[in-house]
Amino acid sequence: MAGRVEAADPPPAPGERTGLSIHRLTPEQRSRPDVARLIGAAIDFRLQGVNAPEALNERFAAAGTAPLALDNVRIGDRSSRLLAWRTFFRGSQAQMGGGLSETPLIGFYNPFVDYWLMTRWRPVADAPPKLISADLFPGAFLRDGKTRRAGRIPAAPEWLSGAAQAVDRGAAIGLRDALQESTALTLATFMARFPEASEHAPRLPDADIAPIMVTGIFSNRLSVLLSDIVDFARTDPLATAYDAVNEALRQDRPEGLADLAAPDRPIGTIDLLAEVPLPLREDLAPIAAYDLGRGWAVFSTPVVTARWPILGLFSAPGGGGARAPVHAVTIHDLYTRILGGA
Amino acid sequence: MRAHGLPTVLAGLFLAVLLTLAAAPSAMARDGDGQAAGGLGDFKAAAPESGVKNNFTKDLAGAVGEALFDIAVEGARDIAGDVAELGIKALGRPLVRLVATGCGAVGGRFAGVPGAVLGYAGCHALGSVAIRKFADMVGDWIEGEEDIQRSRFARRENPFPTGRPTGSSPGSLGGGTIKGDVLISVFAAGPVTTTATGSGAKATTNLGIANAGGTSVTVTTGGPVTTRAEGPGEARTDIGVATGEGARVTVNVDGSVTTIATDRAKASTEIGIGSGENAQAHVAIDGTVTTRAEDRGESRARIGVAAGDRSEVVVTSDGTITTLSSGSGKAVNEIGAAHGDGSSATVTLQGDVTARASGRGRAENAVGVAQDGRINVTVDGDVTAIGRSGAATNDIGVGSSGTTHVGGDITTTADSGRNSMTSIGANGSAFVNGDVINEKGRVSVGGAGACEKSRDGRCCLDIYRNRCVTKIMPKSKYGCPPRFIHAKGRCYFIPDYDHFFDN
Repeated sequence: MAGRVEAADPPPAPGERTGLSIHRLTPEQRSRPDVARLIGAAIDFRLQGVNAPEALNERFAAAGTAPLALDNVRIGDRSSRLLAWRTFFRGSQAQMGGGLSETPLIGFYNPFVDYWLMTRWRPVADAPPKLISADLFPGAFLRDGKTRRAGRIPAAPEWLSGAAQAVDRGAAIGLRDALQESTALTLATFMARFPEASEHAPRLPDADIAPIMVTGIFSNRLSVLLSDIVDFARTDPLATAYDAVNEALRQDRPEGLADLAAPDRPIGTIDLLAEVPLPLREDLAPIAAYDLGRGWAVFSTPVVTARWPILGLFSAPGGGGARAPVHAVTIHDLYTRILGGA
Repeated sequence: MRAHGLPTVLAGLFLAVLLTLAAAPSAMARDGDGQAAGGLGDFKAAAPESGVKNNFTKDLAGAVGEALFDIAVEGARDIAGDVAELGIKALGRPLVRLVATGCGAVGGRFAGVPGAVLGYAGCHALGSVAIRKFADMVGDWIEGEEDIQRSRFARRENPFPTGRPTGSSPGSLGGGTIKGDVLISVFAAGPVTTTATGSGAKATTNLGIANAGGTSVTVTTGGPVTTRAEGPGEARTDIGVATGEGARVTVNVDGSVTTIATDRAKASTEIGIGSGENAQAHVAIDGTVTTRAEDRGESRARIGVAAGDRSEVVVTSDGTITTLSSGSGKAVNEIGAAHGDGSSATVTLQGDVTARASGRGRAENAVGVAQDGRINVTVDGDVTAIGRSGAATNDIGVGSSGTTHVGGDITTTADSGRNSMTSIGANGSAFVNGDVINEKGRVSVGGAGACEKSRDGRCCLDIYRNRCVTKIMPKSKYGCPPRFIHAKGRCYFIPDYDHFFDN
């Protein structure tokens, strides 16, 4: 896998390709108390969502209000819905727009379902800001650049269907490429449309579509995502292999991965992973799993951030062994392309 | 970014994140306060209800999986992976899912040009029987159509240059492109045998399986194809199955196809199945197709079935099709069915078709079905459905228009007082020359057919949530087709039911 990373230079950042203008906060602006509290709230909000989403409204919204409708995830019972939200937040990354405005926007983007949770905040003097609204917003609605979006939302994330269509056209494209490309473009679009260092309150594009469609498709996508993860988690020896990989990654040097790999296919990224800070490879949990027929591709993230998901590739069960061989363990930066490879 | 720089960059960026978080110094400390657990614990313990299972995504995952054989190749340590890699090198993409783990007779061909062909097939067994290695396959895939005829299953040297694929971006693969349709051609002239034994035995034979749009699958079997599960589990034979818009499936069965489950297991045979709009399924059977669940299992044969609007099915059979079940299991034959608006089904049966349930299950034959399309059905063989304690049904020629000719004998009997139902040429013209025997039930010739149920004057296959079900399909391993809902273990189509969010 490392060879692949070495194989080519990174593509130009989406901002460069699309001509998007991105204005980020300067370090000085970032250190302003109100902005710092906003950033802190964004981080805390995500962590709360990962840990206990049922307390999000109580902790972040004004007393007696509940801007975030947890039941918008129309999946099963309450525990299933909460698990869905936890998975959503674990796989999401926060992005701020209008950070200097009176009602800044913080979007939590999960590329695996290609949806934003757009949250609006009201700064409070000498206190954490308050959540005043939380709405789901499809990634596609932001990307296409229209000010008014009508029509339907595709059943599957566009990067996933786009990858399949690209393959049908004969393009050499993989899941990771499509994911990275789409994620980078989506976030770059957010940054350009809702400049971080702006005093103007961001305004979301109008969407001429029934809210139930937005939440319904969101539920469908999340449901599929969860269902696949559960399928994976319930399949031994895959689950055993997954846990073993996590255990190895928790070590200072993840050399235990060598024992999990197929003998003639050593995992070549052990040295690379050893240099990845431990918090990025601790407490990993799956955020997406894809059944590839002969095996599974599983993306996992730690609690602290979804920016660098770790991808594990596992053989399909049925090989006759007690343990599923691990083909590769790699780490990917979904956002580097926005930052110009920095 | 280059590999050697990644850790440094990650460390740097992570440091930057930490510095950023300095504005909220409590954030990291709170990481450990929550209940989030690492690993799979959450998902093992708390499986959510599946909700609406969007099968498109499932299918897509399969399709993308094909595109992802960079992963599979990179990680593969088996010959099958290498085969895929060869395809990738030559074509820039793999064409066929690696559904086979290798056994029995397998063939394929590869033309190496735009519109190229790569095909192979095999079988696998899950159970206590040791699984044969991928390596078995390498001797079975060969290059060139002529070679197929000349040395069908000979081992060939690697026809492709060595060296790893190169890409223009991290993780991408070789620059080859493919134009035109993807064709999969499988010749299985020798015997193909899959056997699984023991608890959980699952024997599966796959010959010519594709999961991509615009795919054409051609399968010819000349030798016997046998799938046998000798323990509680499943025996399944899939021959010529393609999903995706415009899928075209052609299957010629010259030998025998036998699927047997011996011990409380289900037996299933699927031959010539296409799904997606404009799907075509053409099946010709000269041999025999036998599907048998010998001990309390369900038995089902689907031969020439297309799901999707404007699909087309053509089935001709000079051989015999026999499906037997026991216990509470049903015995079902579905032969020549096109599910979708504007579809057509043309079925010509010279041989006999038999469904027999020897226990409490139903015996059902459905021959020539295009409920929203046109049918052309000719049955000169005998069609027999025999239930013992269960009901028996023969539906022959069901379409919104078309003609049904019956020259053979139609026998529908249920031994223990359960209803028998025979419907010939529903909604179209029907001509019957042979004998029709229907014990203790209804016979319908032409007209509206013998409705299982009705609502508001409409003929319904079933009533679900107070609505009329007009189509019922078995659930495939990919779930239900778009616009169908999963209910009662099968896929229901309810025209006026918005099922998008509900299930």
